[in-house]
Amino acid sequence: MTPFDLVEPASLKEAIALIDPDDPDVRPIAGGTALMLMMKAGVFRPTRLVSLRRLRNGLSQITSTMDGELKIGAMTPLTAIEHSSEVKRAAPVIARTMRRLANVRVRNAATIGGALAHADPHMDLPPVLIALGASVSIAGISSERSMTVEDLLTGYYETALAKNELITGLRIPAQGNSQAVYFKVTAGSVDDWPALGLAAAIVGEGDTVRSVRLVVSAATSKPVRLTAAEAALNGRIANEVNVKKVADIAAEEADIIADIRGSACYKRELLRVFTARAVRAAMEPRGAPH
Amino acid sequence: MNFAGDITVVAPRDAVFKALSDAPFFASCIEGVRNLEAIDATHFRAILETRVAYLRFKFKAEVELTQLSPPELIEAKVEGTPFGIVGRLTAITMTRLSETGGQTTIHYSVDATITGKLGSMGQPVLKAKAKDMEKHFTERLVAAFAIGGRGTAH
Repeated sequence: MTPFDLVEPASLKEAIALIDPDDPDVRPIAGGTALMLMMKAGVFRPTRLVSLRRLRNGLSQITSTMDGELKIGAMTPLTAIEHSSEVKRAAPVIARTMRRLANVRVRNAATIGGALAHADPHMDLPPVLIALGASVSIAGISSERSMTVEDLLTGYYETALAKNELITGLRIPAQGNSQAVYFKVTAGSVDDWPALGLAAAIVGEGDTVRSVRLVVSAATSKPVRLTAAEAALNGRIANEVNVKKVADIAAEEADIIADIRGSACYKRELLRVFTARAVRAAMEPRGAPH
Repeated sequence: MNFAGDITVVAPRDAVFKALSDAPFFASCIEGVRNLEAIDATHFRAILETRVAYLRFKFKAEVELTQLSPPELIEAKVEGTPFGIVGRLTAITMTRLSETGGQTTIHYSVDATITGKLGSMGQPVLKAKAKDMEKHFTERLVAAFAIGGRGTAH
């Protein structure tokens, strides 16, 4: 590892000012769980790391409104989200997803803002957050803006963030009658990175699908909504014929990437199988285990 | 990883073949190639450096022209050793040229394998990057012929 500067600003403004927009070797670091791996692998050699550690106090709250909207500070550790009663009440799929996300040590250190900024398409939370319609708040040198998580993630390790912008928080809208599920499919050991991630959030009325969001990850270069499959399911009865048809459409529309976790053909078949399972699970009566 | 595609340039096949088998010209069409060094008429060495987001992948590449059949076929073998990460990149590239009405179509295919830690971490990333590099290569090549003759692509 080559030497680098480590700075620990005390304010958000100071942190943003320390990130050089013209130097890609200057990066903010939150929990560091992903960035350290990149540094150890030798594909990232920073000249300066801007630690956000001292911003924790102001950016690690979890709050919810009466109707179930959630707000989570960007520096909130994943463990705090996993065990938050607000999160379990408003978006239980997040707490369920956390159980198979990396391991306890990683969840203790990793932050939600850092996880989103890293933009690794194998991560479990981004597809879930996209299915839930979540958005992030972003602070720049002189302005703030918000953006959906769907728009934030633009490619492999790439986001729509300007180099001197930081994610400050996450907002998950009230889910109302929507029921969400996430399937993490590993091809090797159970705790491996997934070959496929699939999130579904469905508002059902009896057997009829009133609205649906389906998001594929890990097999693609970024988490993406399966819009053709969504359109084929919206307003339809989720019977076996329709679910099978939607699963076939999902498998056809995704731009699948082959890697060591499986060929494109294999992952496409996984997507077909797990789209059907996700739709069935999200249409189960409330309280049914997933 | 397999890539294949066609590029059409407004130039006769002989001229395109001559250009593509000229290592400095070929290298000038690829983003991130530097320190090109000719070992002999068919062996070359170069450094290839590419960025994906904030990550940097740097290779020491050795290229061998395994078959040159003017003005139709160029086959090359590329072996890349990354800096700072365990792994190896091996690629076989096949280029066939066909001419129709003063235009030459370059039919290319690349069969690349990445092994080691580089393979597990870098293969999907580099595959995504390869699409950008393909586009960039096409633009530079087409531009080089569009400005008349072979020129040098920058």
